[in-house]
Amino acid sequence: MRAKFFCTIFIFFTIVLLLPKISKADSMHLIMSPSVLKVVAKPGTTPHLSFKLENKGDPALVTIQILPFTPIGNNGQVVVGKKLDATIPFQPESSSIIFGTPFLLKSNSPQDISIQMSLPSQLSEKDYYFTVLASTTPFPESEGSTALQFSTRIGSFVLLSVTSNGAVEQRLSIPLLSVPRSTIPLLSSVYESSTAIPLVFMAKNNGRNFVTTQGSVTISGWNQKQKYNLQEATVLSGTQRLLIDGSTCKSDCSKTYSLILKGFFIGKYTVTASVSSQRGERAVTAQTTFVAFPFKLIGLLFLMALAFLWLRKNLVKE
Amino acid sequence: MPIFLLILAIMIVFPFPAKALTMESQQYQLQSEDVVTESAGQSTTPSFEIPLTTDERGVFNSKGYIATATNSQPFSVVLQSTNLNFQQLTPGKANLISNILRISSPHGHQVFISETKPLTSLSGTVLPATSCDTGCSYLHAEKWLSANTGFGYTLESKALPEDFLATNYYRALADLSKNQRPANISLTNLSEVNAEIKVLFKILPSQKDSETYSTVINFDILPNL
Repeated sequence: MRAKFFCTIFIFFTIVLLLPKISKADSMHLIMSPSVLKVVAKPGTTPHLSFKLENKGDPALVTIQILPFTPIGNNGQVVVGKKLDATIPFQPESSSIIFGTPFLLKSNSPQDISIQMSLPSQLSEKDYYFTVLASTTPFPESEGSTALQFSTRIGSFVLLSVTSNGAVEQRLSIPLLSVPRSTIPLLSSVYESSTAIPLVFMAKNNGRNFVTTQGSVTISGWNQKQKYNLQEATVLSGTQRLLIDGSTCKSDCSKTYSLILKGFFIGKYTVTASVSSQRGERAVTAQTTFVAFPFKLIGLLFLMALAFLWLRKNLVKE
Repeated sequence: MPIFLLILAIMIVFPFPAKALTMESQQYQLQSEDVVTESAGQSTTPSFEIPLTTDERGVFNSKGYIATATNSQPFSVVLQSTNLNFQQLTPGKANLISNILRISSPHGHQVFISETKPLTSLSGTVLPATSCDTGCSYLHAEKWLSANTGFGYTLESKALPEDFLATNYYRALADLSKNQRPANISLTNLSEVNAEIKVLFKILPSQKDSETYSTVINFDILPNL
């Protein structure tokens, strides 16, 4: 009886110990915050950067690395560089992290990543962009069948503006505000009243430093005036960005269009787009127009009129 | 009625041109030039400097820098499995396995995929990348329904790259050992919670692919700015 009891206890604890590994077999869940750290600094200073890395998955071998990145495209996409040049040296502040060397990140144990950035006193006053990357190294593979191991690299951005007096230079422009041509044959500048009308609104930053924008689009016509506030966007120095309204333009649409106008438009409408820095300084504005005509409604009314005339003619004859 | 039609016809044939807008205040004057549909007009502010606020000025002068975290929502990435095994390879028979990424991000994300080296056996033989039915590459997906052998992947997500026209469209993997650049498999620019990307890997072995192979698949996952 006693042996049976201990045997049951042994099996129970064996199952309890094994269960977590069975239910969460080699998954990866990393959380990094903040996703973007904006730094405005004087040359010759040593800013301290603080990130937090959390592992909610299984224990993982993690390597921290800092690399530069360059922006591409109009959607906030970036390309991570292969090597960090020596212009701005980075040092980890904690002895538990050595850049480029893997360490074991246990489950549910947040790891502070504190980094010291040394800015030379002769550093040019402009923007520098980096990404702090945490990459996982797969554990040794199992043999016996064809296998895929997965390594992930996730990152947060550091946007650094070097300025001696604290002022950042911004120069916003609107390189494109456009209502793309409609698909109506021979009348590409006219939209059918009942169709959704797309709008493209691009902001460009010709200044020396990145800018976080706030923008809006106002549609005004004889029967309505509607304002759309656009999602804030960070436009890096020398780049342009498609500004979007997340409420009307979702998923794939937001890669191509700023917003999609839905409603019933008749006649000429004016689109006024405005963008400024997040603090609202110096808005730049542009305008365009579009024309909508209820082809389908007129066609339907025309057909109904014809049918009415035909019916009346035939009924009168009878 | 004819007058109304005539007015409408004039409106359609001769749409009103866009007009410049001038904004003025006591401090500055801005004028945007015409921006016409389908052309890149110029509407530009002169270069200007934004000074720090009073609070920021104090911190900047004492510490020499200001660091601001822009969003409280963290960047979270879940990978369903870090190690996957195919079933025993049978020549001429397609073998599929899948892995899932779930991403939460304040301003969207971008994901790139690559392989460290081609699928290679312990003896060093290589299972080649697929060329699909009509010649796909690591940058371009094509239909893969034929008996053409190789290794490739397809995707299921709400933000598919444009070349994945259907579920039977596959790409080869970018091979880092050949200096190929990781290929973008997802790009979004809206706030999201647990956006899911399913990656399906397919092996169609030939008669000579009788060994067991392995490689490391890399996912580069970055938040959007």
